[in-house]
Amino acid sequence: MSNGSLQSDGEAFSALETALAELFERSRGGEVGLERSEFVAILREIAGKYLAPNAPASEVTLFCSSLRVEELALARACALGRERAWEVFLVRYREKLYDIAIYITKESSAARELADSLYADLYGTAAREGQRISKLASYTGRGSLEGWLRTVLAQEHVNRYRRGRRLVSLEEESEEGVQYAAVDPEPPVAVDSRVEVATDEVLGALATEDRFLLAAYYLDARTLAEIARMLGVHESTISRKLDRLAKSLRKQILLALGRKGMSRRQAEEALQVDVRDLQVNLRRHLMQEMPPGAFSGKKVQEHIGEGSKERNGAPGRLEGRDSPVPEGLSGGEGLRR
Amino acid sequence: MEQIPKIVGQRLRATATVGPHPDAGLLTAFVEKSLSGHERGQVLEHLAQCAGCREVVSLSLPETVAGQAVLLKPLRGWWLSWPALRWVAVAACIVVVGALFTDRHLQHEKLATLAPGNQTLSLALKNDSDLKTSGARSENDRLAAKLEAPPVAPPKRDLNRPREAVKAPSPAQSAGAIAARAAATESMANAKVYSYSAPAQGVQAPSASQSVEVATAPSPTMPTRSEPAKNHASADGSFSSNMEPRSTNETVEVAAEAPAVEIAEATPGKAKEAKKSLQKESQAQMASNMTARSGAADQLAVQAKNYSAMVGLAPPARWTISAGGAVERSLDAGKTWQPVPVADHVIFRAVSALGTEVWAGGTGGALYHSSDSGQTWVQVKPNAGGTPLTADIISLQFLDAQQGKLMTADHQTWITTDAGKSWQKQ
Repeated sequence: MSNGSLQSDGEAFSALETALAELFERSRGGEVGLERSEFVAILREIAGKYLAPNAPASEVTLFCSSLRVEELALARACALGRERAWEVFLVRYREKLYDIAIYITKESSAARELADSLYADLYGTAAREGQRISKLASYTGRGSLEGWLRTVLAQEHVNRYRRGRRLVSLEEESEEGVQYAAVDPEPPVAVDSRVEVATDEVLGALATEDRFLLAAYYLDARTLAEIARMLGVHESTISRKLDRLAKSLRKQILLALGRKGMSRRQAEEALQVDVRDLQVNLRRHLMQEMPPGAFSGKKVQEHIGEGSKERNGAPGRLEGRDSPVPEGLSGGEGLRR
Repeated sequence: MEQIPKIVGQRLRATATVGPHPDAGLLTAFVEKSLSGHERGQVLEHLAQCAGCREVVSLSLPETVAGQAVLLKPLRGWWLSWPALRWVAVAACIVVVGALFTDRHLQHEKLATLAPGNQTLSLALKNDSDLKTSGARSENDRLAAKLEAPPVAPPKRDLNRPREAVKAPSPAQSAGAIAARAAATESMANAKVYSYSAPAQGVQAPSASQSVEVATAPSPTMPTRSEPAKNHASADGSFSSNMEPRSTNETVEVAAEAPAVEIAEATPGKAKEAKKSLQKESQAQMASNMTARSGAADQLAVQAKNYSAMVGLAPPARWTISAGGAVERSLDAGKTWQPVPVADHVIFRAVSALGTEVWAGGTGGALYHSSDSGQTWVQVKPNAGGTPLTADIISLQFLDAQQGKLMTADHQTWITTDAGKSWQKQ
């Protein structure tokens, strides 16, 4: 993803005259009000964004030929405010925007709002130095225009969701009795630093795709089908890979712990027991056991507070009062706070 | 799925160092698999660490993929989930294919052992094996072969008549052509048969210019799947042949080709040689000759359409308007687009398609309707209370074949509830 500019772009592009003429004809830019010089400038900008500064003419030609020039011409003509381009864009994509938004948000009113909001950005309601700023000016033709619109809508949707999570209404919190709590911060200390280091080593040695699979499946809790679609492979391929990964990870970490001086038994114990497993989330535990509406969140909080006061008088004991204390850990061996 | 140690999940989160996010163009290219290996690796590296971008990629996957996945799911019915039945299905296919080949082999042997003087040249389709020997051995052929013709007695060859040959149409590739041949068997009883014999001594074989009148299916050039632009495909991807409809009982002259062998007088030895060479030629000709009443052309188009709809091999057609105001159609889910001729001197601005029903509207109130996925178009002239529609049509929406709405550039809305026969202006 080079951001360099084509320093010798004059040379590279002068050698591309024939190719540029063909590309402009293929783009049908004239029909949407785009000048040839404007089209060449656009190609130059995009090539400069993605190619190395001194890319040879052949590479530039190949790269430009791989772009979706027709859609690029349409999008950039729209960004420049050409009416004919907008007419075509509206016919082709206005309803599609809404359909894509429905697919993303799964709800009609939110979809309409999302689509209308993006449409305004595409049209360019903001102005800088008298020039309209359109989001379509950032379309580069690397993928289809429809795919690009999907991605942009998805980005906007994710951003809105994140903004919505940060802004929590206090009234909502007390009315519903639900805690819109932020994500619990990770405990500062792990079970054993050697386990962390060994795990980091093993994860670092994994292929990029394997780490992606682990993150998508175990962190995002995506289904095998979803992950398969993202990578463009069959679901069974993902299933096999994840199964192999899960089996080999434990083995690799144990080997790494062995290299760090742990015995096999110690390593297995360290890997098997995670002190965070023992920190029973009393809040959730109590709320699950109670019938809905019996206690508000605040009452649950008070109950937990009372429990904590009791436990504070017994040093060395874990919060999970009713949980069995594993052998060897009651005295805090291996635990660091 | 086997679980991983919890520490792995913890460390995956903790060690995620998210760099600059790839732009929307790169993410789109990643989803559409149009990135180079190096770029793909870079994007994947970022996605392995950035949950937000993973979510964006997941949401931006095209829904057609999911739709197709859902569509494909029912094919894996409960009966196919039994491994034993799967193998039974495979074995059954092998038996069927073996039977087809054996049958063909027997047919060839039968032809080779025809007695002298009783050789016949058949210009009609005889049976299944002829259907199967012609054209590509595709799934289309096997299914179309089910529409088999009753066997027809091959014509007897009269040795006193000059040998005549008929230029056969090129082997059919499309489903429509196969179905056309199959349907043509209805007219087998009326197919002309020819008989010929080795001519008298000194008589030359007929020249290339000699023509033979046959009743044959129209369109000597069959469209192929590789030329979707020329095939008039329906919205569900069915094909129909390029055969133009003809009036009933119309015959078409087909030029005869000069035979490769000069036929001499029928002496036992030479006649046998001549007959053997003729047998070889007739076998080749039988593979691709057909007769049909031209009136069956309409039946062929309907059967081809129904057959292709049954098979449903091609993806549904998509429609759009080009930058130049032309109606365009894609048969490969939007990868390529082909212009569809509708009307000259009209700049189209809106198109709406529902199955095989397609509506296109443009400047000056031009409105066209096709009920066969763009094969033929009919101009519709909306008129409400004596006032015709003259404004530019910019939007078309049809809920079903009957109910539709159009909008114009000057904010008029016209509605029909009877497939365009009458319109009301809102």
